[in-house]
Amino acid sequence: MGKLFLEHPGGRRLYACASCMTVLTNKRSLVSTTFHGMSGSAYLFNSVVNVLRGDSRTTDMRTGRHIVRDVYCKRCQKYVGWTYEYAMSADQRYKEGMYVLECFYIMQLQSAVKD
Amino acid sequence: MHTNGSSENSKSETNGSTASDVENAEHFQSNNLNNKVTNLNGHDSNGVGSHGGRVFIPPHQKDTVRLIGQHLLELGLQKTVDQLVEEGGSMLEHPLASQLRKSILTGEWESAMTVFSELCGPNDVGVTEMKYKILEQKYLELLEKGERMKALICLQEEITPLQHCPSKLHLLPSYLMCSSPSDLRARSKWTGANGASRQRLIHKIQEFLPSSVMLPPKRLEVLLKQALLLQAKNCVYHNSDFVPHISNSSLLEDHNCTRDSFPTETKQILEHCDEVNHCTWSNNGLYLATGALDGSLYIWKYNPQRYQLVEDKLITVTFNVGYISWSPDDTMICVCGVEKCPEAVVYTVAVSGNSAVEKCRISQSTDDVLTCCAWSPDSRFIYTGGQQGQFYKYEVNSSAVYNWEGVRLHSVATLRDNKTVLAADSHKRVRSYNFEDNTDQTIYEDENQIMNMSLSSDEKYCLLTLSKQGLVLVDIASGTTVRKYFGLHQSDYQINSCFGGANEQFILSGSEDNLVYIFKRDSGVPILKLPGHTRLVSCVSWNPVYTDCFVSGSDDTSVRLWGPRISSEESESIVGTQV
Repeated sequence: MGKLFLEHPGGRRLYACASCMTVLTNKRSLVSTTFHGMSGSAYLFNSVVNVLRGDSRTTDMRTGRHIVRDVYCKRCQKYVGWTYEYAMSADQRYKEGMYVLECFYIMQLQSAVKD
Repeated sequence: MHTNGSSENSKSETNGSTASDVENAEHFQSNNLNNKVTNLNGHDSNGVGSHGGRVFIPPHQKDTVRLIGQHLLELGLQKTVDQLVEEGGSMLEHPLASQLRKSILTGEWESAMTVFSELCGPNDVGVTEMKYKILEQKYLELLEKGERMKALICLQEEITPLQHCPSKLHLLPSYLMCSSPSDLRARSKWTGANGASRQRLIHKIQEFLPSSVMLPPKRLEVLLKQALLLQAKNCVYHNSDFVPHISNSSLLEDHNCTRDSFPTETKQILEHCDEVNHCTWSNNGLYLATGALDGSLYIWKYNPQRYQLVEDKLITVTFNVGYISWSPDDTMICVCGVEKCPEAVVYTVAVSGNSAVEKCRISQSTDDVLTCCAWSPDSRFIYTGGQQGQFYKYEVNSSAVYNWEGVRLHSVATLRDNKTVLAADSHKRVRSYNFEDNTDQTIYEDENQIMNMSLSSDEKYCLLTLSKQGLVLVDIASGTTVRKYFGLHQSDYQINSCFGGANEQFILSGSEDNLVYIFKRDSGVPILKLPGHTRLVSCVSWNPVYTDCFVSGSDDTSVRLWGPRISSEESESIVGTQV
């Protein structure tokens, strides 16, 4: 299906889709490692590339009610995590626009090239 | 003869007509001229008004009549013009202006000077310069005739007192030493009395005097030429070097190229076995290279008369073909892959037989990603790179590699100066890199990722395909956006776009809605959306030499050759019958 346009987030320590190794984000964008998803622990990133967003849905989380969208790898279309669209409680608002990638679906890569 | 009294008379007689003339004259600083201008009408009403057959011409039509009169006069229809002046009651130009023209053309300089002084006051800006020009002509003509004494007197008594531009004045005496008229003409860069010099002097005076006094030369023809050029500029399907001119086009209807002569029709469909990722014409326009996802790469030979491509070579590349670039001398091609392809291959295609010879392979490390490439203008080097951070300058013959570190390339192009390389990188910039002195600078920055970049042949502009933002034309010198082209669908896939057509007046692009988009370079709205492909159109290429055709490649595994509905010879014959 065409020549897919994939971006590169730059940086040495990268996080990629576990199934197709498409680079999604880097260590610099990592905000927190204390999140949890369906599959176990998950990381919060402030920017992620090469993902598609799904439909929005409202979920009740430990930290309150949120509107989120699932995100999928642009290349293999596999589920990798979700992004916060809207946080109902004010103290959770900092997460809006950020991404949570589940550790089970991503892998760490070491790039040889430095930026 | 020209008193204020008579002009006042004329004002009252030719109701309103003076108003526009005075308006004209307002642009001119001279009060003196104001009188003269109004006198132009005063003359008419006094002289011609006595004839019975005079027709009232509304003031706004007077200029038109003057233009027609001047044109007829240039054609030699003197009697008709006399009749026109008599009937219409307005002179073509001020009688003194006619006299001035006549004096200059016959070389009667005394009379020319008197008339000129009468036409404008002594204190007008630029009058001295004009007088100087007339006298300079007189001086040179005297010298040409060998009358050095008279020339000297003219220089001393007439030119020097003007005190115009001493630097020019110093030159004049030196011409006295010229040995022959031809020497004089050579040294003063002057065409001689029998050359065009007198006419040129008249043109200069015409530029100086307001057009209400003396008409600019060939005014009607100038206007018609302007109209034709504007028509050609506004002509949507104008895809040729043809510049309309009075001698080659009809004035009776607007210049308009039909859609039939524009490449809008599929002339041929070439089949690949997998999605076509890239297609590109050779620099001489006679070969087309198309590459597909399955690694097959065809070289087609083009027959411009029959709009037909014939298979010339089939190359099986070991990776998915993502990008092809012809060497400037058209003997080699460099092929890059897609996404994580770690190598690029160079093939020699200028060989007989139905396959090509692998010349070299740019393969440094399995971690490399090489997805785009460009040749240096001398065909010695290849610049290639990709998102992983490689940016190689590779010498084809020696396999020597130089790496510019820290650049993640999306697209690359070379300039003809043989050292500058333009590259679009992952930081949404276009930067220029000079591999000779290792300098680099940012040319353009955008808010969106740049997927594709192509350079206009004059190297002044580059066309960028931006992720989710369509096409942008960027001026390289100033690094600013010239124009955006919108309408095409483009989001996640790398769509290729290019300049094309005669004088590169068009912009061609693929699209995700299965159409081929064509824009006129100076307008953001597409002029054509060509249907035909059944899936995403990923690549396009306009033939650089035979500008009446282009190709498009698509995910539906086909390459389409587009040409005009009627061939160029046929359309010429149609134009011929129209004229």
